[in-house]
Amino acid sequence: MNALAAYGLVAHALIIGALFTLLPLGDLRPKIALAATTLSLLIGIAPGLHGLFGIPSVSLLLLALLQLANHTPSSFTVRPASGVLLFALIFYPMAHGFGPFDPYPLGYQPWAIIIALMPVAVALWWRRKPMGILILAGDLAAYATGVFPNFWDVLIDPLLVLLALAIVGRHLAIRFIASRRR
Amino acid sequence: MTVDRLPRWFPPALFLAALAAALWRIPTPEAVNFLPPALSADVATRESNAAQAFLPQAKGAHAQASLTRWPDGRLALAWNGPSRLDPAENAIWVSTRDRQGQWSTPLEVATRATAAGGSFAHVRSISSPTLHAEGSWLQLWYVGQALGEWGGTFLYHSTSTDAGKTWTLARRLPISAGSNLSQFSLRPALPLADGGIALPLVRNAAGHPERWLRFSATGRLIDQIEIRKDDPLFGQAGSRQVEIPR
Repeated sequence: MNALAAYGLVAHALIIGALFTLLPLGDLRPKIALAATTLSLLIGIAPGLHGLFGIPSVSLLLLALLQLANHTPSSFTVRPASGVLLFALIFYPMAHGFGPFDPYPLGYQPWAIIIALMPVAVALWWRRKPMGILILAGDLAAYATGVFPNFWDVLIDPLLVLLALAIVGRHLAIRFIASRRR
Repeated sequence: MTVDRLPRWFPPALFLAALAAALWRIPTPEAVNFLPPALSADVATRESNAAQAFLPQAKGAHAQASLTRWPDGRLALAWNGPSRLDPAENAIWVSTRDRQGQWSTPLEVATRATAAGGSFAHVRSISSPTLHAEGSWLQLWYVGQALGEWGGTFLYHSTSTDAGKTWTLARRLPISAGSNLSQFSLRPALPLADGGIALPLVRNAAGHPERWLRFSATGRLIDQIEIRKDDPLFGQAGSRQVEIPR
């Protein structure tokens, strides 16, 4: 069995389960999340997403697991989501040919990327964000298993960017509505 | 979850341990050195002609076929053709030629279903096989599409250790950030001096320079390098594309 393929399928299913926990379902929340995870595998939503988007990042999977475990407050707040969004606005266009160079191949021998994570971890530690450091540690540990050939695939993916967009969009919408009511 | 109750030193300590492990895992390949072609132009042309003469017997073959040669002179040929179970679908077929010049019965080695089964992902169609003989093994790469013509394109890889009779489950290789938004095609692979393989890949979209994928001797994808236009090695034969006679 191909470990990367199995990871991709299971991770997509768990992410779908985590999405369902966002619904106001009260006590049914864990059961619905479990049902959504299972059904996404059975009716082909997880393989469909896997086919379309490729493997989800370990960062997104860890966020999904925290959501499934009902970890509050969420670690992925407006500020980290804005950072992910800003990074993605530069990274993805360049990785798809709209820029002076493609940063994606850097992920096959990711010395520079991994070393660049050190100041990020120091900043997170300074600002007392242990969960952020643990997620980065999880990313690095996942890469160290050798399952992922490219470190970018561990760190970021289009679904994480969509999640960041939703969080920032929701925040801006709430601020806009609040300013209109004043 | 009680992350806040962890000692303050614990997350950075875990981070540093994971960082050390990740740094240890980063591949450190040797400088790129292509092997010189092992085949004279005469032999290469003769073998391509033999493959072209055989292909009309491979019913429904279309697009280009990929030809490769084992060191002992046997040949292997892969091409697109209609699937055995559903002729409307594309499949990848392989036939080998022994030293006496006899082609084996074509074998369907990859279909949409086998690609989906190996990658645990939805696959709509497969195409563009590239075959490469390496020692006694055969390496097969092909393109799989999840969405059709306008995106969701991935590269698949499969290996045979018994001269094309059986193949490993298809493995999807990460070659782009997220899904490939453009189509791409493969060119013949070339052997590297360190035991690895170079697989040229051309994206059919503006802004993408031609690249080649570098595989280590253990088969791990370890780099993606821009093809230099003045690189003479890419004009030489490793495995070959064969035009299918009309």
